[in-house]
Amino acid sequence: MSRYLGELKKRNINPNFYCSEEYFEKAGWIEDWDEENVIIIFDSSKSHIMLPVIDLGYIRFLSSSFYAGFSNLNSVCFKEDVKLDFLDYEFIYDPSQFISLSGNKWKKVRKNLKWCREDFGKLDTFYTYENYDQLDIDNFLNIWVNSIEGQKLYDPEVFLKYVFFGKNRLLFKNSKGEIKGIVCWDENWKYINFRYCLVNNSEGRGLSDTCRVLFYQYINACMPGKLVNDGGSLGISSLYKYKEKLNPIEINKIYGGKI
Amino acid sequence: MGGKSRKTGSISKKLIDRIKNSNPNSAKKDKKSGKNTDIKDLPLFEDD
Repeated sequence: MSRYLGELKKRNINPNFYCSEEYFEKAGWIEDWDEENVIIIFDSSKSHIMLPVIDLGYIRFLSSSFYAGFSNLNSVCFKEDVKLDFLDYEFIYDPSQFISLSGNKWKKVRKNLKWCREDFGKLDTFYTYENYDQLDIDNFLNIWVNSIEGQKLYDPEVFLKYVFFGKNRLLFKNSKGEIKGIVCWDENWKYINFRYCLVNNSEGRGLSDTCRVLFYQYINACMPGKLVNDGGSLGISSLYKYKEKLNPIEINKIYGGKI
Repeated sequence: MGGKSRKTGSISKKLIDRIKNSNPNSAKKDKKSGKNTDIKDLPLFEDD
C-alpha cells in the first residue's frame, strides 16, 4: 500500500475520491517525504500539492495549500489557520440498496430499467481483464467520443488510461455481444471509487441507470459490505440531481485549503 | 462521473492513439474475460 494511504488509514481519515494507488499512478501523482518525515502528494510537475500534507510524527496536519481534503476533516484539524474553499461534493452509496429497488424512491430508476430492457433486451455483465475485448472497447469508445462532439472533460488522459488499461472494468453487452456500456472503478481500504460510466444515450433509453445498477449489484455480490464513492457533481446541477436520484447514503463536502 | 480536476480537455484521435500506445500492460496477453455468474438478472418491474 502507498505510504500516504497507509497513514490516512491509521488515522481513520476518510479517503477522498482521488485516493487510490491506481489513480495516483494514472494521474502521475508522486508520493514524497522530506527529512521531517512529511508525506506529500504532488502532481507530475511537482508544483502543486494535491492532498493535505501529513506529519508522521504527530496526528495533525501541517500548514500548506492543497487541492482536495477529506470529508471528516475541517479547519480545526489543522495546526495553522487554514482557509478552506469548497471544491465539490462526494456521493457515497451502499451497493446492497441496489438489489430490491422497491419503494417510491426508486420509481424513476425502475422505469429506466424497464425502458432499457425494451430498447436493448437483457444486458449481461462481463468483468474484463487487461488487453481482452480491446478491439470492441476501441470501437465503442470511438462511437462514444463522436457522440459527445468535442465536449471537454476533466483529465482526458486519465480517463483514457482507465478505459484502455483500467484494472477493474465491467462491460455490459446485449445478446449479440455488442458493448452497450462500460464502467471503470478502483478502490482504497474504505471505498470503491466509481470512476467512469460510458454509454451512448442516443442509442436508446435507460442505459445509464441500468449500467449503474448492474455495477452496484456486481459490487454487492463480489465485495459485500464495501461502500462506493461516486465523486462529485462538478458544479453541474443536473448531475447533482442525477446522483441524488440514486439515493446516496451520504453527501459529503470536500474542501481545498491554503493558508 | 467523477471529481473535479485542474485539467480539462477534449478527446482527440491523436490523444487516443498516444494513450493506447503507452499501454503499460502490453506484455500480458494471456488473460481472458468471462461472464460473471454471480449476478442475478435484473428483475422486470411490471408495476410501474
